[in-house]
Amino acid sequence: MKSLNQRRPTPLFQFILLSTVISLSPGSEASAAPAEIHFSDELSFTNNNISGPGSASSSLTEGLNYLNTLGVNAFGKIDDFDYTLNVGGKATDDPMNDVKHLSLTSLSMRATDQVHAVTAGDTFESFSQYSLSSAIKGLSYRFHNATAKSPEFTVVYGMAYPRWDNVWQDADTKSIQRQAGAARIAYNFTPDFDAGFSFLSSTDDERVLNSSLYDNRVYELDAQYRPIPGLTLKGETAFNNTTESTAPGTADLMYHGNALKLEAIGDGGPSRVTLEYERVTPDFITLLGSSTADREKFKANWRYKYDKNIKFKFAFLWYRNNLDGQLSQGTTDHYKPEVGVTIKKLFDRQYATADLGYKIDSRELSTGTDVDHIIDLNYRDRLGIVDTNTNLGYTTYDFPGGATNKQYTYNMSLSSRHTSGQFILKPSVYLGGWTAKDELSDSTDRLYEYSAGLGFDVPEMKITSNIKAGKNKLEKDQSTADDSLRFFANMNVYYRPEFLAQFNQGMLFLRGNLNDFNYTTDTRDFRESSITAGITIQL
Amino acid sequence: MKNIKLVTRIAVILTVFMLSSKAEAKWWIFGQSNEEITINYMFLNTISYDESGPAVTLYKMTLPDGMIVINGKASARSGKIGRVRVTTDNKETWEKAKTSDNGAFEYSFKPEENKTYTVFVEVADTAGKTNTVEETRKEISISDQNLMTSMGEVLDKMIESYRNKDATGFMSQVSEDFAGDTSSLDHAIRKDFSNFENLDVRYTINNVATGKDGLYVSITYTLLLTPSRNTNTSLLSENGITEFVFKFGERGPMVYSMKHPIIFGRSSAAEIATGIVNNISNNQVIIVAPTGEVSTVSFQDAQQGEWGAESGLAETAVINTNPPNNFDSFGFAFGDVTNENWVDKCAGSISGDFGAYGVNHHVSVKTGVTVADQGVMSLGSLTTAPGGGYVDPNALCAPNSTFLLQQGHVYVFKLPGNAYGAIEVTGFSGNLTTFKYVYSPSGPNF
Repeated sequence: MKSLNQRRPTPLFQFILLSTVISLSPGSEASAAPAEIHFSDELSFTNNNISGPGSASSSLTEGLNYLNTLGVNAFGKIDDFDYTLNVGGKATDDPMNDVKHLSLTSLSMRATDQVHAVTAGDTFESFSQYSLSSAIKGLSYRFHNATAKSPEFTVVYGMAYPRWDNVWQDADTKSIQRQAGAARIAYNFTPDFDAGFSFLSSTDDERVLNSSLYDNRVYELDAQYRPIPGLTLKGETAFNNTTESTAPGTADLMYHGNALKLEAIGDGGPSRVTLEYERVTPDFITLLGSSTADREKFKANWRYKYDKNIKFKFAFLWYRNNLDGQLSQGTTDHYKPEVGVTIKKLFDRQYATADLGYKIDSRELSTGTDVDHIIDLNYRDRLGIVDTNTNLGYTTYDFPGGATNKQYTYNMSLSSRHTSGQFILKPSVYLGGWTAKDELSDSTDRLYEYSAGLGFDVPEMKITSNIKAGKNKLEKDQSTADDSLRFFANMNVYYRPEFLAQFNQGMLFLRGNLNDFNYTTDTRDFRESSITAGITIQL
Repeated sequence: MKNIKLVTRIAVILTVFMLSSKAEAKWWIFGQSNEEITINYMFLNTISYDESGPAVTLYKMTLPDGMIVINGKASARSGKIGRVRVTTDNKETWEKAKTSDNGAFEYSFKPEENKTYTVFVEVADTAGKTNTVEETRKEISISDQNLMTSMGEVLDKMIESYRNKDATGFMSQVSEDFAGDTSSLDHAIRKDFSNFENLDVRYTINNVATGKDGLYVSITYTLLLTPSRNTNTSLLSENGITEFVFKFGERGPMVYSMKHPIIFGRSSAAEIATGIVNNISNNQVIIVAPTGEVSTVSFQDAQQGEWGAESGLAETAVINTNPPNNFDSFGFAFGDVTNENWVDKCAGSISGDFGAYGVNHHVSVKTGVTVADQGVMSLGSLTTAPGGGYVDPNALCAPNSTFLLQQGHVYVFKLPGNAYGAIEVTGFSGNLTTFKYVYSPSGPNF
């Protein structure tokens, strides 16, 4: 592994850093307004304790660990340009928090004069779900003169990494080096009609762990039209040319796919209706977009406000795969109809609200059809000084092979709020259960959970706190399976002392958690507890 | 057929209801009303003004060019739109918006942090008639909160709902435009609630990036799940990195898309994830088979197995059938590949359960293993090993076994100790044979 001195940031990163420094250094003749700089920092120490024969199942890191997150935001103006700078970092010695001890969490600089806008570092341009809707670490430029009604033109270039540490390419944070460049032009032809075109090109380098490498090009066109008041029509289409290298020395695979999406949204009076059709071929590959290949879909939604207290929802979704007949297992069709109603002031009660919903999930496979049914009822009300929230649910799940699982869920939570002198008390109680009957194995599993909590605030002293404790019990019907019993407790205290007031919402906090797991097989039992103390300051 | 009837029934109910509606406005004549002046549509930055509720909190860092823009289009029943005015201080002062002859208007202002603006929009025609101004009231607050802290609060709310198995609360944080479809996500998290008795997520934020249309967040996570259907109900944990994209909606940042490995909706991951994180680690990940059985496989195997959707527990392996004088064998129990000596091809003394050798993919097995060819089929549809039809390929050696692997075929191996393995040969590439496999250590049910 390279030492810090041996690690060299890529030229791209050096450029970003240099741009940032230059942009923040006013020229000799530029007029600059005083910059505003904000700092925020949260430092916490956590001590975890794990015990019991089954302690290997715990995900906590035993012992004392720290976590610090720092953020710096700066705003200012130089000549006609407003600029912002954001830098964030994280430091921790707990590998569950991060594999790196020190990491950069954000780095971006933006300068704009309302016509030109330049962003360096973390850039997030969302052109289209088919071309680009992911962040890039690099540079973007946007031109849009709204006064002159010019087209909006945006270009972006950089590396598609999920975190800044991927730039250093350490062993812990190695990733495929995916270079991407994209551009978009959009124009409002009339107030009711606008259209845009975008292009994305990405190239992969440095194979990691036998991964495939891609060269990807996506071309996208979209338009939006409002022909009559309340009606919006949208269309989007995209094409791709992609090359995949699965292994060194093997022949590349070529993909040419396309995607199409049409939407109609009607908004008027008490109704809002949405109709959508989408078709994405199996060979449509988008590495920096957000779409699912091999899918044809139709969706309809209707929200109807019957009166001010009653709202209905009707929805239907159908989608299928195997568009090219390429799957050996055949096509799977999904049908998902849904109806629901929300009623306020039920039984003429001011605070009563009921939600009733029925959903079906039907899957037609080549081997048969599986259908799940879900019925939900939620009722919220206030009984005197107590707020209630009650849920009842009944679900049947079909599994391949004919097995059916019936489930019942039921829970109720009660909460209240009382002021007594300078204290505010917020007690709460939760009772819940879940029963699952598996017809194939002829077994019924039961889960019960109950807990009680108390919130305790002292506004004059700027203290808020909460404590909660409860039990969760699972009873398995099968003799070969373990029952489990979990006792849990947690506590949070937040205090804004006067001596931290100069740090603009400075706060001390203390958190505690306890989980005690017990199983029929004693060797699986374990207990984990953690205490966290920390401080948050902002300047 | 059953589903067509069901859909028809629902369509009939919808049609009857729509035609019997007693509501005042004719729902199908969109946008029209009895008012003199109508605002056809209006947006607050990119958010629909009507859909965003009476109060909205925006983050200064996410405002395009630091500005709030209110734009839209209005129309008059008779005459033309004369002027549009906007107030941001609860009607104390009014400013004119830019208007066009066709009723389009736009107003923008630069907000200050930690300030709340009470906004009204007044549209008047040339005769002086105006819209119902009170209906346009909106409180816009600008938060100076650190964006990482804000995104942390959003994620905390989602995790709290997920932990409490509150599907309604969870889905209230999801955009209606969710790329993987809200219906599919709703169903996926409900299946998580059914498949896992305890769910928890711990995370730290790696990276946040903002744009005019939304936010990108990358997190390091630990996912903790206790399967409810497995015989062994041990707590499973998974570490990794994942990404979210949030779009600004009526309740602030709302989830628009998630990439593999997703942390919410793992029971139907293939249905709802729209991409894969570019972070190569071959950590063990939790996958859920269509049968509800939960297991852990490597990240790469999960990708190849379509995250449990295609063939449940199936993993993928590759063996080399014709390196010089050697060939590979495969063991089902641990999924391991061992290089064998050519001379052992018919002797039954290979280390793995089976192997394949030669350009024609002749099958070799360990002593005590037999195999049955199920023909062309999908491994996913194989739920039980057949009762008979097994042969010993080593007994068919003359001098090479006449039992050959063929692409697209499924082969079931009967192993010692009442264990079974099954493979589906997915491809031959030079000397490499790729296949999906499943394993049952006790009994013929997969």
